[in-house]
Amino acid sequence: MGRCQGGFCSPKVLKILSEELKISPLKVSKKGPGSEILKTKTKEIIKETGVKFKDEIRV
Amino acid sequence: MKLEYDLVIIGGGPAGLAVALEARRNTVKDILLLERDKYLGGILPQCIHNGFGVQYFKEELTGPEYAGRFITKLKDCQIDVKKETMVINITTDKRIIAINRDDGLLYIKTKAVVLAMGCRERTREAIAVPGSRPAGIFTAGTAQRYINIEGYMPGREVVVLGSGDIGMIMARRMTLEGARVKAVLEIMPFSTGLIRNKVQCLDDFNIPLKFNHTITRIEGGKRVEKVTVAQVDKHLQAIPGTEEEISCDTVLLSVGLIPENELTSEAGIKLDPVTRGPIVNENRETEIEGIFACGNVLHVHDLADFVTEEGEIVGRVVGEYLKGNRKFRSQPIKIFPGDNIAYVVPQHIDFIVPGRKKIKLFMRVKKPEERVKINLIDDKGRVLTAYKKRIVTPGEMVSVFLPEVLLDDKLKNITISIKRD
Repeated sequence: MGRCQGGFCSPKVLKILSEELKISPLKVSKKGPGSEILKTKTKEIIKETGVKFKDEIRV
Repeated sequence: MKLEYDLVIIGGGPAGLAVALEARRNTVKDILLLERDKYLGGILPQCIHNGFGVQYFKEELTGPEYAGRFITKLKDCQIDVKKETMVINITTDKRIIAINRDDGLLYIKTKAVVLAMGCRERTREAIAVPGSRPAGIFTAGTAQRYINIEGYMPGREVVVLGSGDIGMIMARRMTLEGARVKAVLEIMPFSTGLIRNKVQCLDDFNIPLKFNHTITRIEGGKRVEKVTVAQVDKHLQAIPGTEEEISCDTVLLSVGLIPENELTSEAGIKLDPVTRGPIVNENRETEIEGIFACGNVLHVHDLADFVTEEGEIVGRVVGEYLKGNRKFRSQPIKIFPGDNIAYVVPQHIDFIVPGRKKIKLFMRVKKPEERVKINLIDDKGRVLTAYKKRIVTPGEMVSVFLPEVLLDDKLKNITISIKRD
């Protein structure tokens, strides 16, 4: 790795791998199944857990 | 295509954009802006939180909105912009070698260069956290890009190491996305980010911030499974017996930023060991005449607004440089950091400028202090002028004015020191 240690380039590398291998970005891994870089799409965790954050914020 | 310019700006973030617009306003003719990414704005497009522009526009904007204001203006300015173009070398005689897919290798000749390459994040390697190397360890800015630009969550259960601004902002962002941020750990006894971010990102969301704590071990085979956290002593060494395990699938690092000065060093320009940016005069001009630097490549700023302000300084002075309209002092005045000052920018004052009333000096303190006096002291130990501050902290840049009337011909050095008031 170079000087940014993947800081700038890893999102781009992940995108290239997913396009070239024709797999979902969620399937791109560091070292095989179980080491995927990304967990879910955004908004998915909220859908699963049903937590609407604004209800929890106390002013 | 055109390969000769009056001014070439390297980097199209807030610094580069400000330079381009201000140089144009100051009648600099042929300007080229080079950007390695697909879009202008630098890191701003991924900073979708608000708080930008409060100083500069007197209104609260998001990062993309803040960048958008400058990018829109740029379109009417006949400034040449080349995106997806990477500068690979700058020579001392101001020739720039760059590459892109359409033009191949470009050799560009210019009268003035502005370095506006910004900074990158410190990584796990820079702070040497022991343990395994599983997936799930990100710098905060990379996580920010995955979430805000790419639309993916890099984790569900998060521990943030370091209380830098991006780390605190990402703790809030991931919480709003439904992730659980279990703790933010700061090895120092104070936050390294802005006070407003600690309040708005951590306190308001009940995210615990643990001072004097660090990660002593990251565990996990394929993916992060847990981290060991320990309290540290005065020497920042883990205290045995204070270890505690926190299960998580993600570690975010927010442990500082490093100015991206590889091009600068290759051009033979000396760097300040503290700022890790070039040493500059009040025009933000490096030791090579006509090569300027501003924004996070010069020293890490805490607000984009301050970066814009610095870019505008450079935009103004480049015009004077190109016209040859400058008068040097018989000797430069060097500015040194004294008690509790980590660094001061600019590092020296070189010019006599008719009509100038004051020079703004930017600095960072080493440790937080309350009720202090910032003393500007001359060679003989006399206090030239002093400013009172209620509070100073490393996370917030401090600025003071140096009145021009104090700068007589004999003055060689100024030291800036912080004293308890």
